[in-house]
Amino acid sequence: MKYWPRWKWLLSISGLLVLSACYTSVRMHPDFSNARRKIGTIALLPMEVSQVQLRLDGDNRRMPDKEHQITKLIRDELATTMEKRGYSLVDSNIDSLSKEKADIRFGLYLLKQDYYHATGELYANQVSPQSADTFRVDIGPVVNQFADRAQSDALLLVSYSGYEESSGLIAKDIAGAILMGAVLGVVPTKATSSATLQAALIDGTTGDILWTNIASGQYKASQLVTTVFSKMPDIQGKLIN
Amino acid sequence: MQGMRYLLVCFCLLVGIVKLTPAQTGSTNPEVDAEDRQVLHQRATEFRQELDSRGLLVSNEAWQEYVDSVGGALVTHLPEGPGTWNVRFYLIRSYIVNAFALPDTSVYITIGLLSRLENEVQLAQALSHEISHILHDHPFKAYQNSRDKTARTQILDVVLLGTSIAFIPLMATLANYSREQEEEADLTALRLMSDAGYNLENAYNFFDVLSESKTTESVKNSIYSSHPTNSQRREYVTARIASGEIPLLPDGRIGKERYLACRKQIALENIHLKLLGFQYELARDVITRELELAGESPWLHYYMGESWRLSAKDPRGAAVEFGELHGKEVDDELLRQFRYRKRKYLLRADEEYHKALALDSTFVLAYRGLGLVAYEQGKMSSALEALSTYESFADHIKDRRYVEYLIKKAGEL
Repeated sequence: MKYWPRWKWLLSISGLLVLSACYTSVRMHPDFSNARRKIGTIALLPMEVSQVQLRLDGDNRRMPDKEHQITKLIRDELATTMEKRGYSLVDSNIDSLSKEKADIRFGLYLLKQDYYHATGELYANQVSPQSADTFRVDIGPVVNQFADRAQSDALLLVSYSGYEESSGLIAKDIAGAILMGAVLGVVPTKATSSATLQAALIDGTTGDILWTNIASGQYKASQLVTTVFSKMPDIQGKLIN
Repeated sequence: MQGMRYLLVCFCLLVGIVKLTPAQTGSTNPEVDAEDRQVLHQRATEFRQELDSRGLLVSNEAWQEYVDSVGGALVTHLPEGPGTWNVRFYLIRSYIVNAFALPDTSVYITIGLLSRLENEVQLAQALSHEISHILHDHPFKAYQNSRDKTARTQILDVVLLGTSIAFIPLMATLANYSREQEEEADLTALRLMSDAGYNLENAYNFFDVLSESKTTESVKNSIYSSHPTNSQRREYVTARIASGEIPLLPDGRIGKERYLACRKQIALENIHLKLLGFQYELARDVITRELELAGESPWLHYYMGESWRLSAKDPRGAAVEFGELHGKEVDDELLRQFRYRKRKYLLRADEEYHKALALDSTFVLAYRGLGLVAYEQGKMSSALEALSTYESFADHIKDRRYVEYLIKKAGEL
C-alpha cells in the first residue's frame, strides 16, 4: 500500500465536509413555512419499495420477502418520525381500493411519474441550504382524488430502492479488487449493498411539492428514514433529530 | 514484471470464474432448460402483475376483443393445430410504439403502436410477428443467450479493472433478437397472415409506418423504433413476397374499416397518454395528423389546447422533449427560450379551447382549459367565469378541490 501523508487525508475529508455543508438535497416550497401549520393530516401513499439482488449472470432478481420487511420497517419508522414533528400521518387507504380499480392504480402511477418528472426541475442545479426554500414546483391536481379519498390536507410520497450483491458477484468484485491491488498497489473497496430513499410532502389541493429530500448509502431502511426526515422542519419550523 | 503479474492474475481469474459458473456458458442440459423456463414463466407473470399494479393494462373491452379476435385467428393457423397454443394478448397503456412476446406465450402491444397502424393487415403483421417469436422459442433463446453474454462480460469486466467499458456495446445488443431471428419471425408472420386470409400485397408498408416513429416514442433498439433494421426488414419481406413462395391473396382481407372504427378512440387515448408523458410536441404532431385524417373534433382541439398550455406550464419538459427530438442540448439558453414562449403558448391554447367550444358548446373540459389559461395570464374575472362554468357543468370531476381553490383565489385577486 502506498503511503499517503496524513495531511492529505485530513484535507480530503475536510474538503468533503465543506462540500456537503455547501449543498443540500432538501428542496422546499417558499410557502411551506406557512402551509405546515395548516396541515391537519398527511396521508401516506402506497410506497414504492424495490430490493434487488444483483447476480453475476446479470439475471437480477427482485426480493419480495425483503421488500415486505422493508415496507413495514419504513412505515413504522415514518409513524414515529412524523409524530415527533407534530404531523398527523394517516394511511391513505388507497392500497385496498386500488386493488379493485385500475383507474386508481393508473392515477397513482401518474402521480408518481409527475413527481419524478418534477425532480428534473428540483434537482437541475445544486443549491445551498439557504436557497433550499425557493422551489415553486407543483404536480397539479393529479393529487386531488387521493387527498379526497384520505380526507387529508397533504400526501406523503415515499420510495425506496435498494440492491445487494449475490455471493458470486461479491466474489467477482473481490477478485477485481485484488487484481487492481496487484497492478496499482491500491485496493479499492466497493459497496456490496446500497439503498436510496426519497420522500416528498405534497399539498393535497394544489399539488405543490412542499418539501422533498433524498438520501442514499449503505444504511438500513429505518436509518435512511431518519436521515431523510432529519431535514424536515417540525410543525413549529424547528429541525429535530 | 508488473505486466507479468497482471497477466498471471488475469489468467487465474478467468479460469477460476469460468470454472465456478458452468451453468452460465450456454446449456444443453434439459434440467437447466426446464429450470430456466420456470424462472422465465415466473418473470413473465411478475411483469404482468407489475403492469397491472400500475393500471397500465388497458381494460377497454371493445379494444381487447378486437385485438383478441385478430390475434386469435392467427393463432389457429400455428403448425401444431388449433387449441395447442394458448397465446394471450394484452394492451399496454403507453404511447411508446412497441410490441413484444414473453416466454409464457403472452403478447403485448401498446396503444402507441396500435394507433400508428393504418389497417388490420398491419395489426395482424405486428401480432403474427410476435406470435412467430413464440413459435420459434426466441424469447427463451434470447434469455439464455443474454445470460451467457452477461456472464462473459462480467468476467471481462474484471480484466478491464472494473471500468465496465465492455458492458456498453454489449448491453445494446442484449435488448434485441438476432437479425436471423427477426427474419425468421417476419417470414413465419407472412405465412400465418396468408393462412388467415390477409391481403399481403402491401405488407412492406408496415415497416414504412414504423420508420415514422420518433426517438422519444421508441424503445431504444426495439424493432418497432426507427431503427435502420426496419429498412433491411422491408427489403427482406419485399424479396420474399416477390419470390412467390407465399400466396399474396390480392382479394384477401385488409380490414381498413373495421380497424379505423376502433382506431379513432385509440388515437385519442394515444394523444392523451403522450400529454401525460410530457410529449407535448409529439402530441401536436399526432393531433395535426388526426385532424387531417378524421376531420374536426372538439376533443382534438381540446388536446391541442392542452399541449400548448402544458408546454407553457412545463418549459423544462418541453425543452427536454425538443432537445431529444431535434438533437439539441438542453442548456440554459434553450430553457430560457422555452420560458420566454410561455405567453405565446398560452394564447395558442386559448385559441384551441375556443375552437373546441365552437364545435360543441357543452364541451366542459374546454372551459377548464380556458379557466386555467386565464388564471396563468392573470385575467382573474375570465378565469373565475370559465372555471365556475366547468365546475357547474361537470358532476364528478376529479380536480374539484383544485378548481375550487383557484376560483377562490381568482375571486380574492
